[in-house]
Amino acid sequence: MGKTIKLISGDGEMFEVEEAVAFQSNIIKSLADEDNADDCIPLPRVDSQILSKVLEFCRKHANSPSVHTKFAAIPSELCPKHDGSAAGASSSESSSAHSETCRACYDAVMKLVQWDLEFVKVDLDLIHHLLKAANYLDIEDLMFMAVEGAANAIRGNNPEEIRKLFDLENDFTPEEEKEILKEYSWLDDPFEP
Amino acid sequence: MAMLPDEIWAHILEIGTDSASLTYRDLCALAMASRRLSRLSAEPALWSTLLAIDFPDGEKVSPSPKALYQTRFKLEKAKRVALQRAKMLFAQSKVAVSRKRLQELKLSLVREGDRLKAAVEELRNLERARTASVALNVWQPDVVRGRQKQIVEQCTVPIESRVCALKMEVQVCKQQIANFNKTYEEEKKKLGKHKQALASLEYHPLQSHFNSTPSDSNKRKRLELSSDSKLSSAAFEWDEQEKAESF
Repeated sequence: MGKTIKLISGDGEMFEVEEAVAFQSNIIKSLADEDNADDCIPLPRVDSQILSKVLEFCRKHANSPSVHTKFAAIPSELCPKHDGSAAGASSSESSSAHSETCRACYDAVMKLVQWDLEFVKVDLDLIHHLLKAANYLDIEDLMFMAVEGAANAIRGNNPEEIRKLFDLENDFTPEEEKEILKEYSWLDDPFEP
Repeated sequence: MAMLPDEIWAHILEIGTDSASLTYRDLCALAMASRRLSRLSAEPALWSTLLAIDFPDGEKVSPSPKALYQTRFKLEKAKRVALQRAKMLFAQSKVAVSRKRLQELKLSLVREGDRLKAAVEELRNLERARTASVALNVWQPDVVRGRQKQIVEQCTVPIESRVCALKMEVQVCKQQIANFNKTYEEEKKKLGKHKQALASLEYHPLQSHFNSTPSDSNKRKRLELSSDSKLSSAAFEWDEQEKAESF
């Protein structure tokens, strides 16, 4: 087991994880870089239930490159098949060229994506918490997937349903509502008020 | 469930539209939900993204991407409506042509039927004449004889050859009638099909807004891909975007 990081949730629970897992979070990474004599990082705004879910995600993504951001390709060093024996710099072109042709990398990425999609098939409450945690801890892939989870809830719904799901108040005046209906009358199947 | 702050909503909108998880419709629904979301979803960058996804061939830069989107959308819709009408008119004309053909066939059948009747009638008369002339060779009571002589005299044509011709005519008529009937049935089936095609054009399915535009169905395909397994969009679409951006 490599170097580990200790994290303390808002409700006082301690989580010890490998650096590679914890450093998925840019915030944790920068906090750890500052020479902390303590080597215990407090995360007051994340409680243990959410933190454990977050760490589950991070564990899965620890040894894969980011699959959801714009540069989604596996550098040859990390390719499961080639095992670092492939030559070439880890510049974006050579890496993307590699994973475009390497079936093993492609499969690995797809499996991870599938796992991620399942991960966010949870109730909206948890999605809310994951969104906040991903934002607070600055975890790019988690943010991406949490957004996907939220988008699943938003998609295909009308304004009233969206308000209910996301706890929003309808703060338009009746006149404003009429204006808005007119503004969006160009939609096929315009929404009802 | 506490509310999500603006920052997170901004992420949701940006990442959602970038990955085609949220469509123009979703953005509009969000805009209609609350003042805050209305402001956030009016962000021009979001609509520029939607433009690039839904209407890739066209103006890319515009001071107001949202307005441009609306314009392109309406244009697509108008094209779609015009195409639909053209299809309808075509289907209607096919139905009309079929109906006309059926009418013509009916007339032909009637005409042929009349010809058949006339031929059969004439045959019957000739038969009578033939019987009469044969009977004259045999002894008949005078009163009968007189009548038979009349029949024979009235018949001015050579009986045997005429009977032959008529029998052929009867056959031909029957054949023609059979043909016309067959064609009639076929044309009836065609009419049925054309009517069905017309009816299906006139039917408006409930999910019309999903299938309405080509870009909509592309979007839907992308949504299906992305929500089912995020296959191509994950690894390669991003690569493509990167390549596109480097131009």
